[in-house]
Parts: sequence; C-alpha cells; structure tokens
Amino acid sequence: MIGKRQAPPEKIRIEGDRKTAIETGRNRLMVAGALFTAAFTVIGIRVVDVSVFSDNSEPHYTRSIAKDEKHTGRADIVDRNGILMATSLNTASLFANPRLVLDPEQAAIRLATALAGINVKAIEKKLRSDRGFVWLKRHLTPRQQYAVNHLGIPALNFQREARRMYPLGSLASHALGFTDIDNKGLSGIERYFDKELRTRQDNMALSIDVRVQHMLEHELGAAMKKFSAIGAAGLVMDVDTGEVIAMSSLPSFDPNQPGAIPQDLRFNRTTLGVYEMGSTFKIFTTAMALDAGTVSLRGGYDATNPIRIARFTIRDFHAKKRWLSVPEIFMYSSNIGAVKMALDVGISGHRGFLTKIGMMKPVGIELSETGAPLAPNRWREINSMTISFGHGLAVSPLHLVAGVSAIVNGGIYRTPTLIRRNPAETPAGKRVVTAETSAKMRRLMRLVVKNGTGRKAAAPGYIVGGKTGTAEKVSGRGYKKKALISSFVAAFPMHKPRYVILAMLDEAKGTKETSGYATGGWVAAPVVGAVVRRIAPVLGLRPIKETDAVHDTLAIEISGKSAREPRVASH
Amino acid sequence: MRRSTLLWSVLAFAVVIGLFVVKHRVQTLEDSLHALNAEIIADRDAIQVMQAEWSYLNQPARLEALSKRWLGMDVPVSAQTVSMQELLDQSAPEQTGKTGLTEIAARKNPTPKPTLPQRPARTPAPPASDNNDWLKPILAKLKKSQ
Repeated sequence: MIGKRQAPPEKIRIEGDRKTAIETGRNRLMVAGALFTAAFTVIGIRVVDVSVFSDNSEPHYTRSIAKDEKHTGRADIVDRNGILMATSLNTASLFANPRLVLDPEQAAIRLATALAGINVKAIEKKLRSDRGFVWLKRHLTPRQQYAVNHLGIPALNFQREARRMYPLGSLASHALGFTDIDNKGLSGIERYFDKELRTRQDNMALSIDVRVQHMLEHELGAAMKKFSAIGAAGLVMDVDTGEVIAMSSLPSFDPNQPGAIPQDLRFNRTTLGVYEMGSTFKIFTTAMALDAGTVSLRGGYDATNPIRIARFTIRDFHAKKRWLSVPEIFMYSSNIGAVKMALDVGISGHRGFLTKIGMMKPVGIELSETGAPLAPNRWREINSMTISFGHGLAVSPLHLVAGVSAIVNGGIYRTPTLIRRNPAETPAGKRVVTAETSAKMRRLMRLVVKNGTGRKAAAPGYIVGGKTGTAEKVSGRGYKKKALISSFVAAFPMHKPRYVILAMLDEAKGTKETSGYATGGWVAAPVVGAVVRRIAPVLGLRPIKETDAVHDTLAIEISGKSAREPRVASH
Repeated sequence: MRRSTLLWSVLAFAVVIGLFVVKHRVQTLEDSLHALNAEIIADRDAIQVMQAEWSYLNQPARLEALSKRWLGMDVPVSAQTVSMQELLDQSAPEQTGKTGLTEIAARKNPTPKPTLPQRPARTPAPPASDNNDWLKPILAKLKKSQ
C-alpha cells in the first residue's frame, strides 16, 4: 500500500519542509488508522462472540413463571383430607416516607377517613418523625387499599406482603399454632416446622381430620360449659399408626388475631400441661401386673382394709370391703387392689414399665410445647403405691393416650405424630406388652363401660371400652379437695381397636343431674360416648351388632358374687 | 468496485432493518410475557383467596349449623346404618319383578363388597361406582320412558 501511494511523486515532486509535513501527516493517519482497525476488530470479535457463541446473552427483563412455582413464601398446611387449615394470602401494607409528607396533620385526618379505627394522633406522630420509612398499617383489605389510593396523598406507598390466614378459625388452634405479623411461627406446628414451611414447595399435610376435630371440640366445649369447668382437653389417636386425628385444648384462641391472644389461652393442655391422671393409670398398673405374670385374671387381692403408710391412708372410693378379683379391681377402680398389684411387681419393675411406655420423658411429637412429666426424684415404695392409681406422677394427656394405644393395639408403642403418615410407612414401634396381655386389657376396658364406672361412655354399635379417672389437683404441697381433673380414656371398637380417645375436664363441678359428682364417670365419660357416636361414621366405621363372635372375644369371667350386683360404683 | 459497494450497503441496510424488526418483536413478546406473568400472579392470588374462602365457608361448625337448620340433619345413630346384606335379608321375600331379582342375584355373588356406612351431611356421599351394576337396569328403564 505504501509503495502504491509513493508512486505519485513521479508527477508532483515536493521537496523540503512541505515534504516533511506531508510525511508527518501521513504517519499520523497511519497510526490513527491502525488504532481504528484494532478497535473495530475487537468489536467485531465481540459481536461474533456475543451473537454466536454465548446464547441467552440478551438480557431478559422478564421471564416466564414456572408451572409449579410458588407465589407465596410460606407453605400451606392442610388436614389429612386436604382441607386448607393455614395459608398465606398476599395483601397490601401501607407505608410512608415522612420526609416527603407535606402536611402530616391533614394527611393523618384524611387517612382516618379511609382506614376506620386507626389512631389519628399516632399516625400524625409517625408522619412527623424524621425517618425515611414508617409502617402505617399492615395488611389492608383491597377496599381499604383503594380508598387510600383514592386520597392521593403523596409519600404513601404499598408493599405487597403475605399474611398468614387460618380459614377454620379457632379449630385445632393449639396444634396449628400461629405466626406473628412477619410470618414467623410462634407456636404449634407453625413454630416446630418454621424453617421447613418457609422453604417447602408443597403443602404440609397434618394427621388431623378437621371433622373429627370439630366434633371433639364441640362436645368438649358443651361439657365444659355444662359442668362449669375451667378447661378441657381431648385427643383422638389412631392406635395403629400413632397419628393424632384430633387434638383439642379448650379454651382455644383465634390464630388470625395473633396480637390479641392472651398468654394463658396459648397453653396446650394436651401436650404441655402435666396432670396427675388418677385411676386411668390403673390401665398401666394392671397391664404391667398381667404382663409380668404376678397375677392372672382369675387372681385377686384383699381390699377389705385401707392401706396405711407413713401419714397416708389409701382407701377405695366405693369400698367393697372384701376380696376382689382383678377384673373387679379394674371395674370398681379399687385403689387398694392397684397398690397391691404394683407392689407385687416391685418398685424397679414398676418404674421400668412406665419408662418403657414413655411416661418418664416428654412425648416426641412435632410440637415445641411438650411438657416433661413430673416424676419423683427418688422412687420409694410410697411412690410406687400412689403412682399405681395415678397420683404422684404427672404426665400430659398425650402421654396417657400414647400409652393406652400401646396397651390396646396388641402391645406396640408408637410415638404420636401430627404429620399424616403413609399407611405403608408406619414405624415398627417397640413392643411393651405381649399380645395376650393386650387382649386381656381390651376385655377389662370393655367391662368398665359395660358394667363398671364408665357406662355413660357407651356408644351402641361401636363397642367402646375405657377407664375413668378422677384426681384431685395438686396445690402447693397438698391436694385441693374440690378441684378435680376428671378424665375418661377409651378405645373403640374394642374387639379390634382403631382409635383411642381421651376427654379430660379441668375443675368440673357437679350438677344436679350428676347428683353433685364431678368424677370422670359422670362428666368425662358421656363426652367420650357422644364423640364416638359422632366420629365413628365419619371415620368409616360401621356399627357392629354384638354378635356371638364379638361377644366371645370380649367375654371375661368376673369371679366373685358382686359381678351380678346391679349397683355400680361411679368413680 | 461500485457494484460491490452498492451490494454491501444494501446488505448492511437489510441487516439493520431485520435487526430492528426482530428486536421490536422480541420487545413486544417480552411485554406480553410480562403482562401474562402479572396476570398469572393475580390469578394465583385470587385462587388462593378463593381456596381460603372455600375452607372458611366449609368450617365444620358452620356446615353443621346449616345442615341442621335447612336439611333437618342430625347426629346419626347406629340404627340408621344398615349393611346391604341385612337390607337384602329383610326385603328379599317381598321382592318381585325382574329388576329386583337381578339385583339380588348381583348382590348374592360370593364376595359381596362391604358397603360404606351412611355418613353425616358434611361428608361427601359414598361413591356410587361400587353399586353401579344394580343401577343399570333402572337407568335403562328411565331412558326408555323418556
């Protein structure tokens, strides 16, 4: 190229200074040309690289939403049949930048016209503050949002926020729990699975059945009102899987108003509360004695005289003052008989058995609110004696239900759960009593409802069996005579148990109808009967005619003449 | 020389036009995608609200009160539940007519399926698929009469 350009000098000859000037100009041109060439080459290479080699280099300012993508932060909670129990809804929250507000007073007054029930003074104070961001009201309804927009106040803005909603209201509130305004789980499942619910993509299915839950709460609530009790607790548990079908602690609360829940209502009586359960513990005492072989169903103990130990006297509520067979001890809820049964097994055996059925440590359910049992530090003979009839060892109602499930289901203890289990994935559990003992216990429990203290729990066709329990509440160092924990724990249908159910009333008072009694047989057993009658059809159980086959499975020989006695103790 | 210049400039112009058109189209598509996304989010919110409302309206306590008041429903007692076998045992002697007999024949097969118990109002009606066999003649009759 240079050679070609140099050819013209043949025509025009330039010499001296002019030639030098032209040479300089030409050189500069060359340098500039080279620079431009380099720059364009680089750009060219980049263009090829961008358009050919790297795909997706075009910046997307939007992308399509994946089909299964979730739009809210927190996973929904549904019941075992898929009914929505907790969900997150997007709402608008109003905030302001106070620095941009022109007339705080006027703005506050006008806002009050759009948002009923706000404090004008507080809003004005917020708008006068020297900050860049203040919340004015969280979670507006669409109508409120429209009204605020309509005011046209500058410096106000909306933030889209997810709000936790519980469409079923107070139903199962203690199991579900609730979240605070920032969607942080504060109690129940919401708290236990807080992290998981934040990240989980699909719904979380609980073992709760809202229909059963409602029926249990309804019947418990009615009994609580009728007997002026200060509280009530109820549980329904699947004996084979350990799933809790219903869990009710009354009084309950509305998780939709997290700010307005009094502290004492948050207390979950079924898992956090520990109570001395009273005679329901005789289920464990009897099962232990039968399993250990220290007594058989035909055996029995003398219950003529009260037992005196230290400064205590252990007597029977409805004393028969004679020798009682094991079925009679169970049926009449004899404390003396239970004490003798426990003493025959021995202190370490008694303690070991209760440890085996989970009475010594908190239940491993998916709740943070689990109470640790109150067990004696040093287990002496006197402890064994009182614990044999349910005093001196305080456990939660869930402990009791889990233990009774193990006794009636053939002898396998499974940790209760609030999460729906696939029937195929039922944990193996651990054996606590033999299948024979379990069968015997089923007969004994059926006897209580058929002829004994729990006759008010009968539900025709569903073959209920159970055990009553009444305990005086501990107050300081002694017991309150008038404050009772009345309970009834049952299983049904008794020839092949499917569910264990517990009803417990806290400080129930007797009425005229119950002749002033507030014992388990009078106040809690009818609740169980009513609940069973209602839930059994929902749970898909058919009423069973008490055929000979069923009768034979549950028949029991009550030795002693009192079996045919018409009068039956109601304790 | 001139020809090639012309060719190149035409080509360059065409590419510029083409690029502009494509870019414009992409932008339109992205705009519509954006609008669609917003719509999807709004719809999902609406669905979520409706699901919550559905659950709210189906509160067991509310359904119970409504079915008691308007449908006269009440807590079922065991006497209301009868298995198909029991029903057939009772009604068999009175059965006359062809459909009745076929029904009994169908029911008396060696492995009768367990029938679902009668349920309270809040549970869905038991699926009828199990018992379709005996419904068929009745349905056929209805069709004929129409």
